[in-house]
Amino acid sequence: MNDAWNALRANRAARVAALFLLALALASLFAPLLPLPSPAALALRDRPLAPAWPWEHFGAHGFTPEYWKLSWIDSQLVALRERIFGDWQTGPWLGTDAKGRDLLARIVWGSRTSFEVALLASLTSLVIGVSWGAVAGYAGGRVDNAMMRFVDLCFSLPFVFLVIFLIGVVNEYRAELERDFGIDRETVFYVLLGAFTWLTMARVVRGQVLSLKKREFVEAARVLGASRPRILFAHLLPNVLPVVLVYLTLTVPAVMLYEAFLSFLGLGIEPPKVSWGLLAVEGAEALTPLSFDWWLVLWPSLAIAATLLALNVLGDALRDALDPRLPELRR
Amino acid sequence: MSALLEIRGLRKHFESRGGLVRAVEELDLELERGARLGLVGESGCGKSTTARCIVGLERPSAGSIRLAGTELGTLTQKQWFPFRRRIQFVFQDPLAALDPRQRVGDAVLEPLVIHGIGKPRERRARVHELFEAVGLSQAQSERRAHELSGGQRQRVGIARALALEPEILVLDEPLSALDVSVQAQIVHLFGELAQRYSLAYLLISHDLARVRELCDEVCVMYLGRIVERGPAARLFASPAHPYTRALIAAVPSADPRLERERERILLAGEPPSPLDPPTGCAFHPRCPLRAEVPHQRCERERPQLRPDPEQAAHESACHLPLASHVSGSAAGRMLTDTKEALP
Repeated sequence: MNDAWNALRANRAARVAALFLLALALASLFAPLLPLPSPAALALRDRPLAPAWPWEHFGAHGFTPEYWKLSWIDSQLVALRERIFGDWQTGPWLGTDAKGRDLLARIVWGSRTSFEVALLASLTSLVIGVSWGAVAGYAGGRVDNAMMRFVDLCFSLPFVFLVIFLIGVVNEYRAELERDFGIDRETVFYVLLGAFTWLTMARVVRGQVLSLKKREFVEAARVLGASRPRILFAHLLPNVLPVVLVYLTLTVPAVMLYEAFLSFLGLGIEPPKVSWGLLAVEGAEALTPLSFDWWLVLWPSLAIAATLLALNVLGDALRDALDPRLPELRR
Repeated sequence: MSALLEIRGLRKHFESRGGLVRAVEELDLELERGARLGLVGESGCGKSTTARCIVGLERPSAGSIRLAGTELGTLTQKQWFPFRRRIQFVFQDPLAALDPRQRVGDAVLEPLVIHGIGKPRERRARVHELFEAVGLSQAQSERRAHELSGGQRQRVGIARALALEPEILVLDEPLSALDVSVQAQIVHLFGELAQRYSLAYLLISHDLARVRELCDEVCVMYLGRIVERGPAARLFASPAHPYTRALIAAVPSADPRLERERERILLAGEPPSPLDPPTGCAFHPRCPLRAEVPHQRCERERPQLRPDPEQAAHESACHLPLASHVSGSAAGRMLTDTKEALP
């Protein structure tokens, strides 16, 4: 594991990608604390403001806290922000949209949606996907068959169609759902996304466990008297971990993209909340022959592209670093 | 008379696409307390399958394996558990047999944890002791298997097997993955450890020189059956079965003078498939002495293990009586004919 860590650190592209993701994650986590204009504060004009570079327009007073319903922690952070920065806020570094909302603030706040989705995908993949696959692969025989046929069944459902259908149903009864069950559209969307992301992980882990369980070190553990759970948790899972990690870095961008795509189609996150997919669609709509407001589509797309690229670079580097043949390949 | 480990009529068949693989057939074996038994034969003759049945990695198709009177062959995994401490196994390839992500110190600690032996601190001390016993340093216990040399890995494998203080150690070709110089060290280690822990061991090998060095008694297997057994010294000095003779003759000598004089018996062809064993004596298609047995008896009738009239402990399964093997001369052949004529 140490070798892997060193190999990863030696990879410059991976270092850059990791730093970028870390910075983004911090910005997204502490978004309420940053001296950004509030992402929902409207300032109606007939034209969106073009980007003004920080050296042209660094910032000004005039911050008004306007948000959607925030969590308790986030409201505390906003209060703290007001104590630190007062009503000072940054200028329109990346421009604003037609309603005068600051694009940088919206991108930073929108990244929270992407990270939420990433976290959700990671959790379902790690918890449900890994255990499902590991149990199926290790049990083998009929149990394996039944469990994997269930995965196949879920795979065979057309995901986008299902989302369209269910979101449509939810839209129809959303008032009742919220009042009687406390379920909002976003929750349904997240549950759907989570329900689909673990499937491939289960397949990957099952395949790994199937091949690992025939290895001699597993037989050695059996001769020592190790129980089945012990073999699974102490010997098989640690050896599957590298593959799981690598696969996760591929799943996360795919899911982020899915969220953006579905929000783009109007099936995901709803205004006034923001997500990168929503920002991109707003930007695309703003492009008309009469107004070429390029910044509205460029910055959100760039944010999506850069994040996905960083995750893919990191995943690639992780795969190389965790490859046991690495020392020989380097020689 | 009841030996520590007693195997009677052991049979292991595998279902395969090509049909039934008869890996082990009617194998009898005893291992006394502290005995050093060698099991030799070509690859594919069922040596490893026998070993895997003994340690419970395979379930025998038929026959019995008794450890101090308890039948092991039909036990469930749970029932096997207390016997794990008494029979341990050393694998052929120590790199494959160690978890690549586990520190080797933890690998040796693991059996103690599994069987709940001692308190954590005592376990650590025991691991320390075991590492010392197999000639490894404490610093090496922090490494992982791929960071050690072949010999060091096998030492770890042995330390792990010894951690439970077994009465019987089954060694499945423990030397074949090692360099010759390292083999010598490990051989030395076995000798030392077997005495120190009063172990009985079953050494499976195709290396006759090592078996001669390490074992008091030797069994020769061919196609799932024992074809000859006897005290090591006698078996190597006057092998009775033509297959044993061919095996011994195939061992080269480092002394060029001896090497020139070495009797060479080239066996024709591959060992037959256990999918479709030959009729009669399984060795007959390759046997150089087949012609010396009249009436095609080798093809028709399977020879039973018969004791040598001079030493009952030395048994072989061949239609030719032992005396005729001493030389393949015409006199020997005539002798054979007259003896065969007797009932």
